[in-house]
Amino acid sequence: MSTVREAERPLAELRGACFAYPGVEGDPPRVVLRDFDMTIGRGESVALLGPNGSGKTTIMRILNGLEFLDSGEYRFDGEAITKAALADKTFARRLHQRIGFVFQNSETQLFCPSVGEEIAFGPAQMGLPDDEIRRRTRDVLRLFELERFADRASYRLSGGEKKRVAIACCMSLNPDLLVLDEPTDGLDERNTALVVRVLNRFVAAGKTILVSTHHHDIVEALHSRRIAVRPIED
Amino acid sequence: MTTFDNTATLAMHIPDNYLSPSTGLVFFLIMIPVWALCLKYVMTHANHEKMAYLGAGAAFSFLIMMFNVPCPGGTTAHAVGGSLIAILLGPQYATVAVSVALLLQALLFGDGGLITYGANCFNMAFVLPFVAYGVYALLHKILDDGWKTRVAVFAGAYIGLTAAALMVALELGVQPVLFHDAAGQALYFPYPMAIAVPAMLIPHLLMASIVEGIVTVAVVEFVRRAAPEIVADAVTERGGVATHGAGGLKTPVWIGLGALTVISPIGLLATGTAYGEWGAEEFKAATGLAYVPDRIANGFSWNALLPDYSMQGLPDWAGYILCAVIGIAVMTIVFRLLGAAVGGANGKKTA
Amino acid sequence: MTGVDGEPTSFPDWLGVSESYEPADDRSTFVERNLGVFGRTLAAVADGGQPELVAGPIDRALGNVSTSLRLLGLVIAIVCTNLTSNMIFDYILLAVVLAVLAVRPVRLMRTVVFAGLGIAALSSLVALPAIFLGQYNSPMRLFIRAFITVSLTVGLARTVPWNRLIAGLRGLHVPNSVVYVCDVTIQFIDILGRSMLSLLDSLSLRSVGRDRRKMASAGHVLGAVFLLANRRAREMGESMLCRGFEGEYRIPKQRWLTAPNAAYAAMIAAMIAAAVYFG
Repeated sequence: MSTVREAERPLAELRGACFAYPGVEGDPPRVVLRDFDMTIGRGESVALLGPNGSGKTTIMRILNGLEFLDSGEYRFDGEAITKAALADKTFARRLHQRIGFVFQNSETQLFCPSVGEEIAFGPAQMGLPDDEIRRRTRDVLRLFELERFADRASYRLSGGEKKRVAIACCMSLNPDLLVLDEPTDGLDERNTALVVRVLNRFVAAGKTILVSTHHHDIVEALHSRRIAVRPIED
Repeated sequence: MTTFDNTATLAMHIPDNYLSPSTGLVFFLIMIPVWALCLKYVMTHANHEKMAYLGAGAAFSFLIMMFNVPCPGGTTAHAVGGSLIAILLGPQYATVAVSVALLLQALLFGDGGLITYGANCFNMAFVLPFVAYGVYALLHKILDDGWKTRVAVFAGAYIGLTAAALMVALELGVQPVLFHDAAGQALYFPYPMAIAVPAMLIPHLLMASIVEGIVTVAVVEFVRRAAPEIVADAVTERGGVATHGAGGLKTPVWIGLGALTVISPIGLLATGTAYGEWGAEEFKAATGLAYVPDRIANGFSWNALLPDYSMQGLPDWAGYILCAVIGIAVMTIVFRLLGAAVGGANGKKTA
Repeated sequence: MTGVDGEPTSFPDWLGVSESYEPADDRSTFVERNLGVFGRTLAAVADGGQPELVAGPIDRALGNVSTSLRLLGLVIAIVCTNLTSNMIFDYILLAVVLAVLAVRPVRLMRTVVFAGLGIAALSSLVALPAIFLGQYNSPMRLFIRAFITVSLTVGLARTVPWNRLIAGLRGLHVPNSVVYVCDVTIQFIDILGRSMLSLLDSLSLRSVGRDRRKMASAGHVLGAVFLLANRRAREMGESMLCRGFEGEYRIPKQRWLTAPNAAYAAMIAAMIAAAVYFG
């Protein structure tokens, strides 16, 4: 493919996406997405807005390859992401490196003995040399003002600090697209301001973010393009 | 601190000093292959989420062991929960989860010993879940529908915990026979089999195992109603009992039943001799009413409880220095703690 | 959704009247006791062996020793205490333990003394009737030995951050995957313990009368925590996948040959020599 087309090609796109969770115990399947279209361009800041249960989290899970579409198409950087494609472990790991996913519940994202190791985890899994791992860890700790917690275990942090660590450990993977599920949910003003500042600098550096939120002031602060998600009425 | 909650858990968690180091070593040697096989099983039969599931399972087991279960009369008791995890997730999984929970309890909270860790794991993380699962799977196959799940779950938990309690009693009861000093004084657990076995078994048969059984039934019922797919998986995937005949019973069931058959005769034997010797003890106590004070008069030597008796063979001056160090240290600790308590009551800042 | 039957517009009239209710007496304390136990456990986890709060000169010096070596030293000390058949060695070790404790910060001292005395008292209480079997030494022996072993264990667990203590297990040839599961377990004890606390809180707030089915309530709390554990475990598994977990876990190597390690090893050797000498 030519370089011109590559630059114009959207980073991620959903075309005619349909998705339903299977019903338990004979209940009918719960339809979450029907004929849903979405495009995320390179270097964009995009916000998913919609009421509870409208499928924002599901869209994010699909983008990260945790769920697969029933019909329709999901392409990331031009490549179709399907269950068959992700069965190739190398391809799956590459996708997970290129997309970072910050869960709504940050505490289940933290599983290393200390904050420093948490942030070094991604780069270490990528097989980077030791001094590069150290450099990235140091930089990300400073970016999120977490230096003094480097040796602290994550179960000894407050909720806001845990959220900062959760975002930090996804950012140390240096992803092209950072997906954040309700990133400022339950954060105080100071923590919110810090997260917004880091995310804006991340976008300014040419990277892409997708956030879901209920708060319009966050959308304003992140200068995001809005995508409305509506619940499917049966 | 958890220290004050120990009274209830002490029954199952053998602390350090109750078993000889050699006994502890034997159980480590038994458990190493068990751990290796169970860990390998869990790692190969689970999906990529295995680490997280193991951690969550171990944490759940840790919390269950601390959970106060309500009992009649406003009192509470503790459950072990090994049978619950075995029935919901499989016995190999229970072995790993309970072992990790016991390790953290011993290492971080000081509950249960470090050199008795192997023995504690053998009782609570191996015998208990495998026996419980074996009984559960067998009854689930034999019994008719209707109450069958509840009865099978209760019986599994009841027999599993009782078997574990029996193992604790046997391990403890063998200590005074094997390990004593020249004067016949027990070096570790002081009571013989005749006392240890009934002392462990009777409260378990009448109370603790019933609590374990009811808790297990209550939680399995709850999980079955709230998330039926989990319990259904547990039966069809692992035991194979729902779909296959006896040939479908997989290894864990056979190991559990095997362990049970090995334990049962030992148990009968032990309780048999226990009652036999019990008689002898009672006889001795009845006739010896005059005989015990006689021994006290004859130099039963309360010295035995005092340091200087045990310090024979140490030069006098060394004994004095030792006593002085201990004395000064104890005084310092008492006064500093008193000072801190007073300071804490006044300002709450010094502590 | 259940319970939303009937006309959505009409407001039930009984909601407009104030309830006249005299609660029946309920002697059960299981909710309160559980709240207490889990509150203390969570506080301990949040504490996680905070060395910064309890560091005296001795603990700062010990902090330079590798954790694996200290774990090994702890196990050797317990084995030595248990292997000697007369009490001389126990009294020497007791003197050392008490002397070290006497100069430790008060906060640490209190934790160690109460934990040690609690378990030691319990141990000797259990052994007390053994006097009538002619086992005069048992209660005192168990009391002193229990105090030594518990205060050594608790003293270590309270002065080393738990993540380092667990990492120290690798030095004792515990496999990486097990060390890793231990780390995840503490994280989950925190997560599930807090959920259990809030479940118990809501249970106690709603238990305004006599709960006739306490066992069922207890089962529901544990069942709910089990389901939560399942869901959280799946989330963490997915998060590991998203962050590129490949099944291998890299832990930095530690240095064994340092001066503090050598000094500590020499002390352990002296202790073993004393144990052998006094038999």
